[in-house]
Amino acid sequence: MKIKVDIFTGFLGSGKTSLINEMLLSSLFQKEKILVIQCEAGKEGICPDLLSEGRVRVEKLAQGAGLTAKMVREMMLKFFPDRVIIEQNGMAGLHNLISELNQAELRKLSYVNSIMHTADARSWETLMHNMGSKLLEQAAGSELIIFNFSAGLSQDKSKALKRKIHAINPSAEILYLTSPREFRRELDEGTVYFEEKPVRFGKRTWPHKFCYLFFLGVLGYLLFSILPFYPLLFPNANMERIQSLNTMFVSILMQAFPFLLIGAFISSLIQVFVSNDALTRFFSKNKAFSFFMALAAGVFLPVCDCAIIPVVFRLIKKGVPLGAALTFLLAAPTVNPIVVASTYYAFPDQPLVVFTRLILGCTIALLVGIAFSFYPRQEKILLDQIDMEQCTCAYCREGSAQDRSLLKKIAVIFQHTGAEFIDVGRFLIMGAFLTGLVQTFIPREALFQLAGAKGSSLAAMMGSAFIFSVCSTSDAFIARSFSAAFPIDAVMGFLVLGPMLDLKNFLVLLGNFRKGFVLRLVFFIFMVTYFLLYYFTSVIFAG
Amino acid sequence: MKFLFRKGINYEAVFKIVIFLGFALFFYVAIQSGTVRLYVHERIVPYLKFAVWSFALMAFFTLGEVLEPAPRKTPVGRYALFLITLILAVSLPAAVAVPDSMYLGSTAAGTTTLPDPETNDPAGSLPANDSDNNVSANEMGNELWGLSLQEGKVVMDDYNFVGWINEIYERIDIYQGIEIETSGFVFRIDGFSQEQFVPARMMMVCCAADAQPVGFLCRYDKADALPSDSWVKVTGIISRTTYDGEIIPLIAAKKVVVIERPDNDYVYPLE
Repeated sequence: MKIKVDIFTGFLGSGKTSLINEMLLSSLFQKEKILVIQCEAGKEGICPDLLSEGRVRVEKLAQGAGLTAKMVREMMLKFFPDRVIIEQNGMAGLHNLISELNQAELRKLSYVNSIMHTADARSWETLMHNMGSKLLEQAAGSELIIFNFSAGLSQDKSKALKRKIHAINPSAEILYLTSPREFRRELDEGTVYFEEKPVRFGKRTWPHKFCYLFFLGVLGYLLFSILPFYPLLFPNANMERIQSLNTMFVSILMQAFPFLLIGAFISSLIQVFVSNDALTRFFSKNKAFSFFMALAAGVFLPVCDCAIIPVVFRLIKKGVPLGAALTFLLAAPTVNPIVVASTYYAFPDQPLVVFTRLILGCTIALLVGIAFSFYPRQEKILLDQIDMEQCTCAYCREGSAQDRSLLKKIAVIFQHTGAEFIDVGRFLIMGAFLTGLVQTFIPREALFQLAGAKGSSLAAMMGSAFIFSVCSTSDAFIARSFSAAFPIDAVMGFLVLGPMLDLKNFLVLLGNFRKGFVLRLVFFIFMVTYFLLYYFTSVIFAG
Repeated sequence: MKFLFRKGINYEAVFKIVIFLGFALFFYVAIQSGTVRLYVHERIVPYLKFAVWSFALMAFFTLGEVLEPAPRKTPVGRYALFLITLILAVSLPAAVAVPDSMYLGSTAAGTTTLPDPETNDPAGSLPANDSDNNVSANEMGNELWGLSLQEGKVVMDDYNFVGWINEIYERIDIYQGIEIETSGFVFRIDGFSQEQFVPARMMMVCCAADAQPVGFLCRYDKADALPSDSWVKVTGIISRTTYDGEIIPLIAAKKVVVIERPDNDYVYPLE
């Protein structure tokens, strides 16, 4: 039997030692010989009663020393325990420890059974902000996060904690304990157990989930590859719809993925080469200038709307003021040279359309940017808050990227881009699928029936810009076909709103920013666009 | 079941590599075999090539992570989404259902045609109705869009289909009485008489999600004998008619022949 290794991480005073004591006292482990390795000398000690039985042994590490594979091996060979519990120093990370435990000499003897992170529910957030990377690394690498002392925690607060944990560690299990004593009860009752992994009962575990998804994949494949040969069983029309939906879905992705990659690349370049200080200093020098920069930047970044979000997200993380960043988010897809050119091609007889699209697009971007620079809770808009100071991804773990060789930097950029692509791409996939559904089941022509009074035509055009999610580089052509049935000022709604907001980038936004913030932003953009267009387009197109 | 990554393999990295290489391969094969044109417009292809390279390099640089211990537990659902997308992408051939309706008015498709993108001079890329244009008002064809009559006939093929539609919609007067040869699938919408149909093609402006049917309205005595969606070649004379209050071109068909479906259903503006 290999020796099981359980790791407790967590900051000083979070109750690691108390939890270990409770664990040792639990009926589950009465028959085991357990070695506790303490890498930290806390207030609490291991209960002396336990030590006197001889079943439990404690090894303390000298202050400041790091645990190495060799040391662990020696300790194991001295005592031959069934289980080793490592109490990791709160100031040390997790990655190095796991690397040591993964050394070949130890892998023959033992395996890591579980990794837990204990946190004082009352002070964890503050600590996370102040302590940064090492604590983050511990929380991100643990499977079970134990919030200790959570007795007085409000519903909102515990939800907020959960959200933060899941932002840095999406698959972590969370356990709230009012006191360490409760841990023993949970263990005794079997609601938390250690033999497979420390999870709450009733949750689907890794292998099940995987089998389930695999099964779904196979089923999907069979459905799609075999069904077409049975037209008698399944009416042809349905198959055509499914095939059409699939084609639209894939074609939207084919069109959007390259642009998403460009965005992810730019975001990674900013992450690796531009320091937070430089950016913040640059933007805080002159507020008016920063808005102007945000407008102009779009000209130099000729990318699609889906590519902008990762860049903006990175800028906000790096400390660029929210207002300027939002102006950039909204203006870039509109002032993009490709968009201007395609609008011109689509409306060659009406240069005013191009002009209006540009001016109104920029005006709305500016208005929204300025309004949101007064947004009261600037610091609470990003989903992974803690990321404000630190990049959670694995590649920024060891020190700053600034002092690495160029080759390493290139590697980091590609790895970073890959991680970013996976992160943002999944929302794009969902968005593309939804868009495909809409396009398959709501014919564009149905909209022609909505043409009517000015107000409702405009609303219908704005709504369809949102729902149909046509890429901003080509939406001018679609707008042209609408202009047959709709008045030109309503079609402007389609042209102006389209690049700023649509179903697919709405989902991408939701993946990066807080729900409340995104909803407010979307609502505000809709209102501003509606009123501006309602009152100004008639003036412009009348003259 | 112990966590697999502790045994030395980072499954997250493996997933990533499979996904990156999968998409790179899918894009590459699509570009090589030409099926890419059933999904997106030609002008997206350079971007797709860029994506193939990026994916390949990303996979290459992720390779080093495979043997490192994972920094966190693998979020399987996230990767499954990409894998399912890949399976969907390769499992079904591309095809888009033809919408039930089509707009036949004067701005239906014509003006969505772009001039030759190679022409950098913006003045030169203005459409034919501009007074300064080098195309004289009564001369047929349009050099800028590569349109010219063949032995006095308008012959529409895959490459000039959208161009001719635009040209004839805009200058319908001078094309009246000219012979035309066009092909497409038989398309009908509610309100057509028994003699009416459109030999239509699907026009892709950007990607398959925005494809829409385009074509000329045709009058043919035995039109109701043609099954919808069958492919036909129509020879006839260009005339004009009023449809929904607008004057649009009409082909008075002399001869309609059933033909094979072409390899590519789509026609593209901007070429």
